[in-house]
Order: sequence, then structure tokens, then C-alpha cells
Amino acid sequence: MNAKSSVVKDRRHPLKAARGLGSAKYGVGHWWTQRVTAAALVGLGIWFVILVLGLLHADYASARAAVARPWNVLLLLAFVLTVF
Amino acid sequence: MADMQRPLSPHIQVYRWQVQMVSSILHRATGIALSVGSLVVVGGLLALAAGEEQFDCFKTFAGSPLGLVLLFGWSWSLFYHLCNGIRHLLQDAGAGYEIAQFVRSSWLSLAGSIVLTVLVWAYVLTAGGAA
Repeated sequence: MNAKSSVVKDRRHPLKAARGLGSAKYGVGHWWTQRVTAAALVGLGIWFVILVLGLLHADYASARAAVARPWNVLLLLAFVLTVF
Repeated sequence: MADMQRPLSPHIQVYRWQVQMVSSILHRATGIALSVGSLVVVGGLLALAAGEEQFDCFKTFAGSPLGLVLLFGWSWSLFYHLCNGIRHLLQDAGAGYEIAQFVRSSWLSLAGSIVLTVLVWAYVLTAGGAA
């Protein structure tokens, strides 16, 4: 109906241009990244909850000291990097 | 107007609610909530790095009624996403695809998240009230 009023220059489906060109190539790597970060976050997430619960009523100095302990620095960095 | 007669692919309104749908939808919703919450985690760390004044400001916010409601929601979101995430990892490995197993694991991740949330907040309350 509308075909007469508007001139369509290319009636080929966009799929035609994409078909046969293969995948976008990053799928498997992205999938694995998601699985690995997810598995890492199982442990890191539980650890983070425990860390925060330990700091419930902590004042500034003790909170800062806890976060500055070497293992906590390392795990916290890993946590934040993995989250994002 | 012939276009209006074309069949539509079924969407959620035609399905009876089932626990498998709920667990899937909640996984997405809690994931979105957690990505917002992660910004608050970073905000807390920045406040800790910035100095005592900023940290006290953050603590006051976290202890306010709004802060506590948000923390409660995020804690449940975290535990639900954790439980259901483990379920998804097992399913990615090819396990638990029978319908009965699927339904059971959905209920398990829901129940597990509630149990963990209750445990954490029971600890918070017994440790002397919130912030």
C-alpha cells in the first residue's frame, strides 16, 4: 500500500549483508570472561560481606586500618576490578 | 491495517506464573540493582580514602532509614544473585536440566537467598543495632 508513495531503493533484507560473514568473533572469549568473573565473585562476594560485617561499628581509624591490611587490599582490589 | 492481524510471539502475559520465570526475572532485576549498588560501594571506599569527615558522612547516610532500606534490599539482591548465579553456573556446565530439577533449584536459590539475608541481618541486630 505504502510502496507507491515512498520509493524504496533497496528491498534486500539487511540479513543478506551479514549472512556468511561468520560470527563477530568475540563471543567465546566474552562468554568465558563472564563465567570466570562470576566464579571469582562467588568467593570474593562472600568475603566482602564478611569484611563489611566485621566493620559494622568501626570508627574511621580501624576501618582504614582494616582496609589497609595487605590481604584485604589485594582482595578488595580483585573484588572491585572483577565487579566492573 | 492487515498488519494488525499478524500473529504475535507470546510474551509474559500469556503464561501462568511459574517459579522458573520468577527466578529468571529476579536474576535480571537483582543484577541491575547490584550494578547500582556497586557504585555505592565505590563511593564508600572513596569516602574512606578521602578522610574521616567524608567517611562519617557516608556512615551517617548508611545508618539513616533510607540507607538501611537500601542496604537491606542490596543484601537480599546480592544473596539472591549469588545463589541463582551458582545455579546458572551449574546449568552452564550442563547439570539440572530436567524440569523437576529446574523447578527445585529455582526454589532452592530463592530460599537460600532469604535464609542468608535473615542470617546477616540477625547478626547486624545482635551486634548492637544498625550503625
